[in-house]
Amino acid sequence: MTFIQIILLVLVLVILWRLYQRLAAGELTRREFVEWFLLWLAAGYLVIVPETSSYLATVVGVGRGSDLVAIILVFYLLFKIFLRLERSERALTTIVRQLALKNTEDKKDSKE
Amino acid sequence: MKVFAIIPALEAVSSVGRVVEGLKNYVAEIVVVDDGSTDDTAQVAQKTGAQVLRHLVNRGYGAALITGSAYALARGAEAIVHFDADGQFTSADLPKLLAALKYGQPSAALGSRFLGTAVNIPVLRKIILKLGIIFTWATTGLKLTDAHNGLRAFTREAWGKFNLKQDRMAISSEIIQEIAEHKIPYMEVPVTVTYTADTLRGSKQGRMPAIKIVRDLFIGKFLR
Repeated sequence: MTFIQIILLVLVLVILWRLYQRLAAGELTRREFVEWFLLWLAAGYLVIVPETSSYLATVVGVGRGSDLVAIILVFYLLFKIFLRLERSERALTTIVRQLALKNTEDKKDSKE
Repeated sequence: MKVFAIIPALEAVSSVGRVVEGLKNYVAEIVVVDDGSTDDTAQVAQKTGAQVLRHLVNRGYGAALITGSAYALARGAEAIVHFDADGQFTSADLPKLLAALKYGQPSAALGSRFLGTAVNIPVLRKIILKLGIIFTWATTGLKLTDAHNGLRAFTREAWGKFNLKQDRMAISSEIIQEIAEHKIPYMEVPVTVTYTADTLRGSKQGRMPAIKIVRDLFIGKFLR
């Protein structure tokens, strides 16, 4: 095992431990925990057996293993950002709706 | 029967007055939700006699429908009917739609342009709508003849059961999903939809509304 592999592996283990702590503290839902845990477990596996990514890459027709990892990571993060965006869009809608309903009530009150 | 009409409106100054006028004989109150228009949509609607609610910034067709419907229910509506501001629907279809409801219980009446008439419908629009019907059948199990028709009516009891979250055009699919999920009795009613330059402007929805609807439904699956 190379030096960089050991560093990365320690990093992954720390992240897995942090995930568990956040689950215990109630900061993550069980489903979120499982998602992230599996993702980092896979990352840890790739660190130990990097050839796996090259094998998977050739299977799906991507040139290099590291390219495949990068592509999957970027897509995953993009998806997460989409979700976060939609969540804040919906929060904004709630505020705009409450204002619309409240302003109409106020106008009615002042007329009556 | 206390029926409220809900009309989401965006930059609809040229048609909203006519639409509100046409609905007056059929409903107790007309609610126009101005979804952040920059033109005089709100003023025209108000002058014609509608109750106007204003979204301070544009939130989309679905968001406006939910706002207007929430207002109607809070004001004691026994039934609500959704209508479009661009003039594509026929107000004379309302009595048929409202007659199909079973008041005092969960019930829905869905307008269908393919049971009725679609005047001057462009071929591409027709194909996309037909694909939408298949998509709706595959995702909800409901076999409708027109799955994305904005002319529909609900009793208070039906609308109260729905848990709707889509801000944009995907709300039409979401409504059908909720009807299926809560097993709301529904009936399709033939209606006339007329396509004109006004109703086909399309700029509101961008170029690919169908793809956006599928995307929004997909993203929605991952949000509580």
